[in-house]
Amino acid sequence: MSNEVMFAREDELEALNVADDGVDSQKYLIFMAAHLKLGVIAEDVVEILNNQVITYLPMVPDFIRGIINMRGQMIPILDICSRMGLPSREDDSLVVVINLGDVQLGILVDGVDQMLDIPKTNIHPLPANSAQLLVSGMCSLPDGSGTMMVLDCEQLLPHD
Amino acid sequence: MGSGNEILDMYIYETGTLLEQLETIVLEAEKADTFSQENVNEIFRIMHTIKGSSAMMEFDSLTTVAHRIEDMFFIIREGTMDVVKEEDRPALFDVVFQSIDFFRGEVEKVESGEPLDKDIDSFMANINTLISKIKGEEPAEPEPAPAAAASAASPAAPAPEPVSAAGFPFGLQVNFEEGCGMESLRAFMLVTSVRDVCEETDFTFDPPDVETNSATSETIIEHGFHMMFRSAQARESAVAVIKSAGSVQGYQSYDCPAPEPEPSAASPAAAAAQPVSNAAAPAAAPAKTAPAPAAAAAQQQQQHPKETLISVNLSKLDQLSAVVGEIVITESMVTSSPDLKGLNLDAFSKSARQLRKLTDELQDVSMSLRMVPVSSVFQKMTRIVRDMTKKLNRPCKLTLVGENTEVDKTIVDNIGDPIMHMVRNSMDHGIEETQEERIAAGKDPVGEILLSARDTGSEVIIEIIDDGRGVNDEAVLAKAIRQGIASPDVDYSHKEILNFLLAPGFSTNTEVTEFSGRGVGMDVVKRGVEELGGSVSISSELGKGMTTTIRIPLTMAIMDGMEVSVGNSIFTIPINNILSTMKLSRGDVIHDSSQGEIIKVQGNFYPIVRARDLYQLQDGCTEVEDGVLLWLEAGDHSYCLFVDELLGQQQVVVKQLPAYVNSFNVKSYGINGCTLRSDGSISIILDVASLYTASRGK
Repeated sequence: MSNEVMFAREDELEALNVADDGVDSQKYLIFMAAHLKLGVIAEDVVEILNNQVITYLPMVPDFIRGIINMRGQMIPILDICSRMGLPSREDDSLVVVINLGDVQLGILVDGVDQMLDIPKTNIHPLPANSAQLLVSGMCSLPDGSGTMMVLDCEQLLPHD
Repeated sequence: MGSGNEILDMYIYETGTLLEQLETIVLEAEKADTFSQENVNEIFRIMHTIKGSSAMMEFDSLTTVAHRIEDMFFIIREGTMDVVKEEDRPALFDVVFQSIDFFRGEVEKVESGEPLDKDIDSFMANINTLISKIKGEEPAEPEPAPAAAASAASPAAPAPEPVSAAGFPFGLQVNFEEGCGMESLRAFMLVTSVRDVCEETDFTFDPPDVETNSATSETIIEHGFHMMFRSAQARESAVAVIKSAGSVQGYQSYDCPAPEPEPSAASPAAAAAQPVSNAAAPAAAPAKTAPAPAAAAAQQQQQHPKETLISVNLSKLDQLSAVVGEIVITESMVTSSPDLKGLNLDAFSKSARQLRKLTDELQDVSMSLRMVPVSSVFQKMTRIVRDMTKKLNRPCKLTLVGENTEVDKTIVDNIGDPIMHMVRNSMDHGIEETQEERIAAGKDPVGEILLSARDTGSEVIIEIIDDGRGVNDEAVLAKAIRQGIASPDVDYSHKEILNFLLAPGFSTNTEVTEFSGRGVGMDVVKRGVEELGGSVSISSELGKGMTTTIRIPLTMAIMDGMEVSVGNSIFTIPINNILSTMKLSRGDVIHDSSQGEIIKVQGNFYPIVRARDLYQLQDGCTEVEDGVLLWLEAGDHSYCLFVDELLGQQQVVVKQLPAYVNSFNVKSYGINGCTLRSDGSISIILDVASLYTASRGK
């Protein structure tokens, strides 16, 4: 069953999902950042914003680009590449705003790829010795376009 | 009744308000050492309302206590304050205060859903002793008289047949719904409602003691509740009221042949109605069906100021201010839209001006909604000082100044504890232990604590001043060293030593007393005030007393700010921190030994902080000639901030930075909040004091 799903096209996948409703699956929004495909749970996504003016905020870590005004709400903008230790992005145009409990966070991305329903069983844990901090699981995309890393949004929040 | 929390909320709110009212009255009365007749009436009325509403809510212990206190004040009202012997008066005040505390405690329990205190016997015994003492003065107690007179006037015929009273030939029998409970109370509520439409001398009712005697419920269930009217017209209007009343199953009119008028009997009946009538207005409140204003008409001096007030959930007001803030910004975004540039739009500009005027007004109104006087907090202090004066046997008076100063509701809610802490502190540690000590120091034997509030337009300043011993610097320092807060090798200034008082874990009294020093120090005060965006400072002179000054921004939602730019960033600085702005030439800057820059302004030297360097910004002026210098002052700090350009003064709506950003401790760098500019971009609000601390910390 898992193989079927993994190699199914998106439309077929939908059909499959309808067929077995009981399967525990989750919708993910997949976006591109630093040539990685990252997935976040689609329910957490508030919206995708274009061409926002980001106000620079001094005295915060480099991966916080600043804040934006989303309809009167101040949203901090996170450079996900820089957060993961990759070279920081130049282009500030596309922001995915996610909602984590009470915190709203904007993530700078290269592009938004697709929205996919993925059964939980298809998400595999990371290799045991992996040092990736922000990723909680991996999943090969059914269309064969690559591998999605599941972004562990909770990890984005500061812990104290 | 159990129809949800709304009634309970109403009960809690109402009882709270009444208790506050009561406390104010008693505090004042205690000063005068007597209750005026007006006060007695008012207390009677308050107790009656509490009794009624507690009975509705079925809080029996509350009902019983309220009832007893009401009885006590009934006696006092009948015989005026003279019935209370001079030496019994302190006990009387104490009992009333105790009862206030009892009610408060119980209401709190109700609020938090805890079970109520069932054991009220000792307290009741207290009240009863006092009552008998009061009665002792006047053995021929008139209390049972009215009831007797009433039953004489309207013969309480046990028979089901129409009951009639002399002079009241038009009867009305009201039957309540079966099993609705508390028939006597309902009957009394009915009487109250009817009193709104009829002169109280125009009718009477049976059983006559429904108000006080719950056993009458039985009679009412069996025979119905009878009301007798002087005229058919009065009865007509009463019927209208009864129709709209709750739990009434039906009513029946009957006429009795008017007997010979018996003036002698009729007048006591009217008199019997009298004491009950005084209670009319309060009873209307729990009755809900009876509009209070009408009840007030019967008792004209009892105009509730409350009637014009409604209580609103604070979160709704918060929401309102947030939305209004948005409207203000959106309005300027629309009217100064770049799309309109170069267009000549007469009609549009006219409407835009109108819109601006209205939004300004809306903003003012929405802000004023949240403003409440600090008097409720101050009033509580009166009580604390009174209690402590008695307990510690240290005569002390509290003087309130400016208790009508209005501040944001959130401030009033949160300022109580810090003020209470300081007042207790002043009583406990400040005011001298004995009067002799005070006399020896050449002071008035009665200590004084002054609690004042004033509004400077941008902030509210609350001062707690006592004329006690003052702070002993040496003792404080020694203690601070003992507690490990201060280092023994450093010389501390007077001011620094006073600041130790506010440090966590510092409490100068070696003994923990009931009132202060409960393991928490004055750092609680500091933290509480800082949470409100304010600051605390202490000044003191040994032997003369201590002054605690609390400064809190009047409203946290809006302020006047100066917008400045540094490179591409825009910052807003609170206007009341800015002393002046100036242009510099290179020669004005003095370099000190540690590569710092200093400037001389009006004969004094001040350090210069460059915003660009502090915040490590990419661009911005480096040459002093190109930029502008702002001379700033906040608390104890005075310095100059170097920025690129002044953009102008603006009234801004303060927005908190996202919690996520605050978790990186930006506040300690003076980055305190942000605000939306008219073009929708964001400006960062700087806190002048912490900005300076940050610049020194490097």
